[in-house]
Amino acid sequence: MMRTATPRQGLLDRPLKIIFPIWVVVSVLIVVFPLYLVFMVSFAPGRALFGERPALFITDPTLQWWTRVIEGGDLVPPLIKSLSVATLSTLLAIVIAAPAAWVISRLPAGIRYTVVIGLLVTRMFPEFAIGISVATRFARLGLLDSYLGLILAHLIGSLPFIAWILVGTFETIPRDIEEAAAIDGASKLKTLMRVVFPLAAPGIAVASLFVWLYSWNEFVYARLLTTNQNTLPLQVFQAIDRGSKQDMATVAAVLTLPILFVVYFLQRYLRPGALAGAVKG
Amino acid sequence: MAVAEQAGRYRPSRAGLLAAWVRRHRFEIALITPLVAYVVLLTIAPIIDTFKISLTHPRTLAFPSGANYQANFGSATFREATVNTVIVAVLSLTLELAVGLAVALALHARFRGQGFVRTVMLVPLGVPTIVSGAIMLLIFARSGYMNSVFGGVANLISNIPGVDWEFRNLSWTTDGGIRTLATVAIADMWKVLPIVTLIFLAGLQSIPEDIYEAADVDGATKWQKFARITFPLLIPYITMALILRSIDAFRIFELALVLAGAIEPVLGTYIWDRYGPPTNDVFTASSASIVLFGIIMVFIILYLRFVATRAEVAR
Amino acid sequence: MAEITLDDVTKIYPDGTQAVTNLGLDIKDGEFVVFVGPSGCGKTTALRMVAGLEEISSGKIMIAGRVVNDVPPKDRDIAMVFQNYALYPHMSVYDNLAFGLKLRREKKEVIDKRVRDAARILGLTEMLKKKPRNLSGGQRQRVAMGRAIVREPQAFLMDEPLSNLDAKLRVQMRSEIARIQRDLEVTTIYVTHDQTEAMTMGDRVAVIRKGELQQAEPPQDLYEHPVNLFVAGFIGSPAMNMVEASVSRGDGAVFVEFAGNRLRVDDELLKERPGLKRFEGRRIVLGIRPEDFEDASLVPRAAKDRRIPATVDLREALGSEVLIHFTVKAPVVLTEDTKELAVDVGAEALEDLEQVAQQGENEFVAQLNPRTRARRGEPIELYVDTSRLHFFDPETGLGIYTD
Repeated sequence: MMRTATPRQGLLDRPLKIIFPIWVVVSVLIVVFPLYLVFMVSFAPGRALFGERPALFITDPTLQWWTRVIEGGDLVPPLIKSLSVATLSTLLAIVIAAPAAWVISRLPAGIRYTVVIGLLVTRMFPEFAIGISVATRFARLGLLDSYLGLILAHLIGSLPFIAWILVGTFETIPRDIEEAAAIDGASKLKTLMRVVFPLAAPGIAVASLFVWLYSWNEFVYARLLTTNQNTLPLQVFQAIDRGSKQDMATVAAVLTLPILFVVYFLQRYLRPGALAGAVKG
Repeated sequence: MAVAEQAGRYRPSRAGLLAAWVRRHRFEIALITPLVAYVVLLTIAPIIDTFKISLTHPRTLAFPSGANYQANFGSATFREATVNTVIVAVLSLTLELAVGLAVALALHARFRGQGFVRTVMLVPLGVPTIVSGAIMLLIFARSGYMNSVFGGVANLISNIPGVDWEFRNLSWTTDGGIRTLATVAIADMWKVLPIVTLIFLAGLQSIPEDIYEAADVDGATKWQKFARITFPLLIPYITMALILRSIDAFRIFELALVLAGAIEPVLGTYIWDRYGPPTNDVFTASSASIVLFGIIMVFIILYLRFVATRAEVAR
Repeated sequence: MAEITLDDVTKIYPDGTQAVTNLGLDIKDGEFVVFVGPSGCGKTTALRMVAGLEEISSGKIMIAGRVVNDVPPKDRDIAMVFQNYALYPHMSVYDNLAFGLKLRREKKEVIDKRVRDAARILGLTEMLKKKPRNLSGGQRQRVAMGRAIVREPQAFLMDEPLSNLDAKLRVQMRSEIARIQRDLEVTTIYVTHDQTEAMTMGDRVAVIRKGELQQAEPPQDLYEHPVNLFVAGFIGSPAMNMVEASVSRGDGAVFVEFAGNRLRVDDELLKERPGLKRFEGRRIVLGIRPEDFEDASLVPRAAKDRRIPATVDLREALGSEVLIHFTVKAPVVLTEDTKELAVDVGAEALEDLEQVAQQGENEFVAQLNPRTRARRGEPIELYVDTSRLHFFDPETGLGIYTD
């Protein structure tokens, strides 16, 4: 029987040709439209309480909500808290996790596998099961509303994650480079500081961004450990509770803005393997 | 000219070996200790602690006691929350897998501007969950944009002579029922679409091009290629996405808090309600989080069985 | 510069694998010793124990008279060239060379002078500012060498440094490394699985098999007096032909017989190897190196008892010589040694060997003068230089030399 290399025309093929571009556009719209909304509403004129909605396409944008939120003091203190907590917890996470991840990456394969899986699994635990006990203890220690308390709580999530990513990074650095350094006269510490960490710098940077993002977005621990000094996500929640659409949208926009840059920078590194179980939905 | 003979046995004591090992690796031990200590003190110990609280009687403080579990399972709200959690999980998983697969198929094909579209598709990945809740509120609240779309459609229809349809604004988020749960599921779908899409894209990319060429030679249509090649080869990736997403789906909290509130509780919001004011009941809250923990453990075990292969971890 | 002593060194891995067994070797100051053997024979492990990268399970290693068992690599004052070069990818060539000196807190001027001197010797002066990823394989190899040279260490340790280069570059670097070593007179241990490298570079060659040292001697001695079948088969390319033969006495001379051929052992050889007498009337393993064959028609007055007939199965013209393959109807020698050699070639080679052994046939290779008229499928008379035969005890695999 003769067979040709031209694909056979199926019943669906012609409609598919027409549908495909629409399909792509709809996919993009699903993603982009909600984001458009949050920024659009933050610039929308007229005070929209939850009873009304601004027009879908505004023609006369206003900065009044941004000024109001900034001047009203609802934005700057939470912004500072969120920024500090995210940045400090990221730095601490690197300092604690990077050396440990190097050790893990040099363990024998079987043990390494178990440890790495263990790290992954702790990330999957529900925050409440950990957070309730942590919150009661921190309350006793006077750590509620403190930067330190929240930083420590965020490390619960970020340490296993950053360690997990960095184990993968360190595994790509050939051991004989470390051995060469040892023979060149470097101590283990010098080898780490002058050879291993510089080589892993891109991986450490990417992992840091992920961890920073996690802390910046984190809600549950922040809620459990806060009584009045809000972080930005808590501030969004408060705005939702209070009921002005523009206030809510403005704070949400502030919270989202840095993320657009971070995600743009990270997109090269977003591979399914790196996401498996790592990024919480 | 030495032909070596069999080596003599060499066998130091166990304790000696351990001491020597510790001495040789003290640098490594020093480096890993902080991480281990952290995980033990701030992850494992709190879970054990929560477990203990959950088994402590709220008034007599007797231990162990099943009182908190009894109280939870006896509570209509808790049962409702559990059922709702399952419903939301099923809804959102179905949506995520279907939309994720559709989007992945669209992105897998070659077209102009593909790189840009892929970057755009990743954005919700970084958007805070609470923001995604806020956005959905803009869309699905009584005064949300969903109603303006429906209102527009209703207007059009009511302009047709003979049709009389008066449109009433819906409040997806406050009416309760399946519609509210669906809103939570949609919000969750939007938030995790990039992850699911990426997993499926990886799956699609793992299928060698020449299989399709072979199918072309055999005269397969596009649909046949999808049904007979693409889909079966994607099944491991679907399993992976399903299990991973299940773990997260049961932990759903922020979205439910914002979109469903007290009307349709899920386990996350139930725990929060018990723990927070005015109840401040740490005992039932602990017991409910241990129940949640148990449910998630089931999926973690599934994950370990089906997903976490060595290659996966090694990337 | 220093002498290195390995005294009864053994390496057992935690999983029980014994990589090196009771290795003993004295390496003189300035000597170039090559460790050679099939892959996985423990030669690299031995080198890494000298470097301090691998713990010593028992025995001791001394460098310049100091026991270094518990001395970390950084304090052993040795330099090593790695198989994959192990250059620091984030440093320029200059910094790669200078790193070891900086760590030792040498003065800036000293570092600069040594780095530039090494770069000049190795022809790297133009590349000092480049990063390793912008260098060719050969250049990377030179940087790796340079990193060792600038240190002016007690010893060079080289772990198959040329195995990642293409054939032509390998030959060139081979002589270059040998020259640099002779100029600097630094004690050197060089690990390779390539017996040509071993033969051409080493003052002494140590053949290692399954973690055990077989023989450590100057290359020519090794070639001419292999201690056992393994060394005989491993050293030399094409490999030595081996066949089971019987020893008999007659007409005042000693003969070896195999597959209907009867060769008279040269009297000189008999004097050198009196041990052969013990095997009269018994079986031995006879070894004939390919170059000890010649086309009989090119040898005037080739005595009949120094010739064997053969049929050419395959003819390989290499220009300066011609290799012919022919079948000898006598069983292949199948001992642990020859099996090990076959495994080194590949698992398939071992299967082939076992299959051939069952058929009772043996393929020989002869290296002939290019003027030979041997053609494929045609018979030929081969002359055998019977003053250069090798004999081995089939039971122990050991070479038969003294009484």
